[in-house]
Order: sequence, then structure tokens, then C-alpha cells
Amino acid sequence: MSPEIAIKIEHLSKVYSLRHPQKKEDGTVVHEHWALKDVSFEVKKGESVGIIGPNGSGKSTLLKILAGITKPTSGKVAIRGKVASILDIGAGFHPELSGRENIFLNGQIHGFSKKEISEKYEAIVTFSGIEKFIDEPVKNYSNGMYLRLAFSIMAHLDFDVYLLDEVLSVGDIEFAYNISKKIDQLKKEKKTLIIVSHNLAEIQNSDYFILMQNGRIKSINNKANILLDYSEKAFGKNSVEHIYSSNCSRTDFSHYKTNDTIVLKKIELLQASDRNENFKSNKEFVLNIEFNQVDSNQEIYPILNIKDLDNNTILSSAYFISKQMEIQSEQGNYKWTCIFPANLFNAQSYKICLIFIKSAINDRNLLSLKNEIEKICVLNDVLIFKPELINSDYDYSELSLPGNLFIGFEWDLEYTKLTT
Amino acid sequence: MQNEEVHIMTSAPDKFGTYFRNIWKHRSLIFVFAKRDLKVKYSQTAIGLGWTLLQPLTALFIFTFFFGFLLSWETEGIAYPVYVLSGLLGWNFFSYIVNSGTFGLQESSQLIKKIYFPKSVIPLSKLLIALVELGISLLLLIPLLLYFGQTVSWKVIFLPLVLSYNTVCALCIVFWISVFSYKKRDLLHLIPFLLYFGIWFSPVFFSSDILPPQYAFVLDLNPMANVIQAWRWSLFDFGEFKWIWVANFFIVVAALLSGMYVYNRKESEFSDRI
Repeated sequence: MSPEIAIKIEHLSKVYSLRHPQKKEDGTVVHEHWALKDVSFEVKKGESVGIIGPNGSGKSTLLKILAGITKPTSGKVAIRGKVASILDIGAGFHPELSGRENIFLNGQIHGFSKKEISEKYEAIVTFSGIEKFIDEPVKNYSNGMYLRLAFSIMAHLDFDVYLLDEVLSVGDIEFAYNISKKIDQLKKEKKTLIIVSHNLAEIQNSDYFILMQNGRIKSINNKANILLDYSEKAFGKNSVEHIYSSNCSRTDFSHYKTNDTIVLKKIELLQASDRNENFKSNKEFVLNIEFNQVDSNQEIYPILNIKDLDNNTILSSAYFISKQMEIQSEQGNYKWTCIFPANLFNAQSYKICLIFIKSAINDRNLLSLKNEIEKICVLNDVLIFKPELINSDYDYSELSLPGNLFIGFEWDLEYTKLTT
Repeated sequence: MQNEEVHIMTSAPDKFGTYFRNIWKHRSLIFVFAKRDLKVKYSQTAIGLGWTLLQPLTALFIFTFFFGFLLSWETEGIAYPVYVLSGLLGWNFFSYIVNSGTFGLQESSQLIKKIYFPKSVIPLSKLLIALVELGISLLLLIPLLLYFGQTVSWKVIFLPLVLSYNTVCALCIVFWISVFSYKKRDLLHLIPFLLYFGIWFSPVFFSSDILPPQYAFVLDLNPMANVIQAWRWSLFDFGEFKWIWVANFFIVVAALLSGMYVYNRKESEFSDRI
């Protein structure tokens, strides 16, 4: 195997014998199930591969074989380096043991020495944010604490190849955000990643894609085709995708219909900057909200709430405070844009929540307040973002300054020298 | 990247040599699992490892009361409580490994399905726990020896050999039961029977010469009976050394190795089946 290849898979097949043979329509009895059939591909060092496919398409079986958990029926796999199999976040945790003990237990199960884990221990605990409870048995942890700790361990230990199975789908939005950040970082560090999911958003930023179906590779490395193929078959209606990269936070709704009034299309938060730069507090943010209005004679507008991760509302905003403008009330495509001023946010995570309001137009001549106002849709946690607290010269994020906002008031200094 | 080793995975089972190399490579897991199990076992208990003493202690009292005191069974040369405890040490060691070793696969099934490690480290970690508990039980023997004025023979230097014999007997059963029980669990139901009735076929609390001489060979066929006699021989120079122990030891070692051989061939199916 040439040194730049991290994973080489040749004609891999896996058959499971069924405990209860199944009868087919034509009368033949099936005793076995081919979970994988003749799968071959190569992954270069530092590449990330997204494997997608419906349930039962063989994705997880493939990962299990790569992780060495089960053996193939035929074919061959070669993997170079230390493999992190994150098939289940928190596998190997023991509920009776404390967080501290579990860090060491988990690390050692994954093949690290006590010394290696001790070196990372502080970082793991700090990242997980559960210093106070680290000596409590993990059975007393909340689900969120448990996930944070488990993920923190895997994120800090140094592997060459990462196998990830549906990791974004287990936690809340903040957890998913942290993981996607971490995945971005691993990519920058040139780690080899194999990410399995049935959710396209999770594998968005992969270098190439594999679509699996019935244990076979259906198409490989053709992003457009795969996205199209897959989103039509697997998603259908009411699908929501969260996409995070460093300077864009976006949620795509393909046909998310609310109350027969609007169909949400896209909500995204952007900042004018080079790609791969983080959100910065000293620049303006642009929030785009796109939807189709289905019925006519309604004025529909969004109200913005920004909350912290503990769900405290930090601020609200709506168009009518800053501007008087005429809102259309007919069917069509609507795109609202809201600009957040620079020097407003602190270095912390914020959630964007939107409330859509409709006011029926009964009489054009009446003040709009007298018209009936109704909430038609509340979108909680639609986006999440975390800016760096920055001025032109220096990043102050590390200071962890208190306060939910960090506002750029006008400051001035007058200085007079003391005369003695 | 420091660890540039290439792993090759095919349908072929590991070579027997690789099997042992893999266990060696993951040897730290044996300690990790043993430590974890000990911590878990005694977490939220007030006296912790003290419970390890209580089990042989109660057995000791019950046997001494019924057989030593009520039935006044003779155990020539050794006080009855000392006799029983020296038998219990070997038997409890055996019974702990067999019991926890065979159920260990089921116990760790979540882990086995998510992370690769050689499954053999599970019974080996149980062996380690059994050794710890044996060590603690040995503390119980000391006051008894002092009280009854029992001296320890110089043959105690052979105790490590006796202990290996004891270990091999237990592991042999664990590996063979495991390869047959991961698909169908029937054999696991046999374990409690084996352990409940096995003690009656091993001279733990009775002296081997209560059997009519023509049936004495039955005990020779039972490896655990040999082990327990060997324990007493080594500790107190009680009874005679028998060459049949040596022959038996090699048979059991062969059975253990063949058990491990089959275990290695079946190991990769464990994660699919348990």
C-alpha cells in the first residue's frame, strides 16, 4: 500500500445468516442477508469521505468492519494508523464510575496509555464544561453532560483515522454545532475521516461522497448526483438541514410548510469575510430569511429573538421599530434581510429564534394594529452562532468577559499630567 | 503521525500466534477492566472489599457448625475450620472465574459491538479480580492458623504451581463454554448447576477418605478435586503428592489451549451474535 493511502477497501462483502429465514413472494426461502456486496474504494490520508444512504444500506456494517469489530465474509481492508471508532458516543462508559474514572477507562479502551490521557486530562475536562461534577458517577449526569464528556474525550485524543457514525444526530443543536466545529478542525489537521450518516448536512463538507444502497456503492464522488438522488428519495417533505461552517450558519428547509401560510426555504446568517474565517464581533452580520407565501391578503413578517444557550432571551427585533415600510400581502417569494450592527455580541454562543406574525388585512384604511395579529410559526433554535470578540488588532475571546452582549459604546479619554 | 502501523482485515481468522500477540498488545485492558469491575462492585458499599471476606467466612461457619461440630467429621491432623477454609480458597477462586468469565461476554456486549478489542481480555480480567479476592481471603487463614497452631509446610513454595493448575482448570471451562454459548445461551444455564453441585464432588468440606476405597478413583478424575488436594498438600503437607495431578494438569492445559484456539476462530462472530 503506498504511503499516501490511509484506507484501502477491496471487494468487501458481508453476509449475515438470518435467525428466522424469510419467505419471499415467489416462494423461495432466504436464509441470509447481504449487508455489503463487493464494495471497493480508497481513501487518501487527510481526506474526508461522507457515506450516505438509507437505513439498511450497509453503511454501519462497513464502519464496523473498518473498526475491526466484525470480520468481512470476503474481501480485504487495509487501514494505516490509529483508528477512532466513534460508532456510539459514550460506548464504554460505565454509569457507576465517576467522570474522571470514565475519562481514563474510555481512553484506555481506545488504546491510549494512562500517561497520554493524563496529558490531555485538563483539556478534556475544560472542554466538556463539567469540572464541578467530574467526581460524580456519570449515572447522575444529565444526557447533555454525558454526551459532552464523551465527545470531549474523543475530540482530544490523537487518532489518525476517525470513523463517525451519525454523531450529529444524538445531541441538541449546541452539541451538533460543537461536533461540526471539531470535524472542521480535524480536517484542517489533515486527519482521515469517514463520516456515515443518513443526513446530508452532516457530511456536507466532505471531500467526496459515497451513496450506498442495498449493500452496494451506488455512486461515488459525484456530489450533485448524490445530493439530488438522495434528497429526493430519503428526505421527501418536512426536511430541515442545518449547515455550519466557520462564517456561515444556515438552515435549509426543503418544503417545510407551516400552517398552509408560508413555506420556509432558507434562513442563513452571513458575514462578509473570506471563507474559513470565523464570525467576528466587529463586523456586521447579515440574516437572510427566505420563504414562499402561499395565501394572499396577509401581511407576514418575522420577529427576531436572540437567546443564549440557557434559553434566556437577550434581545428582540422587528422591522417596524426601525423603519416604516409597506409589506406586500400577496403570494410570492419573500426574502427578508436583517443587519445586526457590529460591536454588539460577546464571545459566546447565541441562538436565533424567529416568530412569524401575520396580520390579516381586513381594511386597508385601518391602522394595522387594529387588524388581527396572529403568530403563525415559531422557529426555536433555527440557527446558532458564536462570534469571536475582536477588534482590528486583537482577539479578546480568551478573556471570557462577562455579559451577554459586548457593546461598542463610545469611549473617550482625557488626560492631564499631574503637576507637583 | 507516530503510529503508522497498517492493519489488514480479511475473512480469515487471526493466526494463533497473532491471537496471543493481540492479547499482549491489549494487556493494559486486563487491568483496566479488572479495576473497573472492582470499583463498580464495591461502589456505594460501606465496607467495600470487606465483603470479600464475608463470603468465605459465612461458608466457613456453616460448614464448621454442621459438619465439624454437629456431625464431628474427622479430618486427621488438621483442625476442621482450617481444613474447610483451605478447600474453600481453591474452590471460590475457581467458581468466581468460571461464573464471571462465562457471563462476561454478555456483560460487555455493548462494548463488544462498538469497539474492537480481543475478547479474551474479559476472562483474563476476571482472573485478576479472582486473584485479588483470593489474596484477601488468605488473610482470613492467618488468624485461623495461629489459633489452631497449624504450621505451614515448606512445600508452600509449590503454591504458585497449584494456583496455575487451579487457574487453568477454571479458564478451560470459561473458554469452552464461551465458544458454545455466544449463539445459544443454554450452556450458561448450566454454570450455576456446575458450581452448586461441583463442590460436592470436590473434597472441600469432606475428607477424601470418607469414600469407599473402590470409588476413590472418581475423585482423581475430577480436576478440581485434585486441585483442592494439591492446595492442602502444598500448604500443610496434608495427604500425599500424586503423579496423577501432573498428568491431569497437562490434560487441562491442552484443553485450555484447544479452547483458546476455537475461541480465536469464533471471536469475530461474537459481535454479530451476542
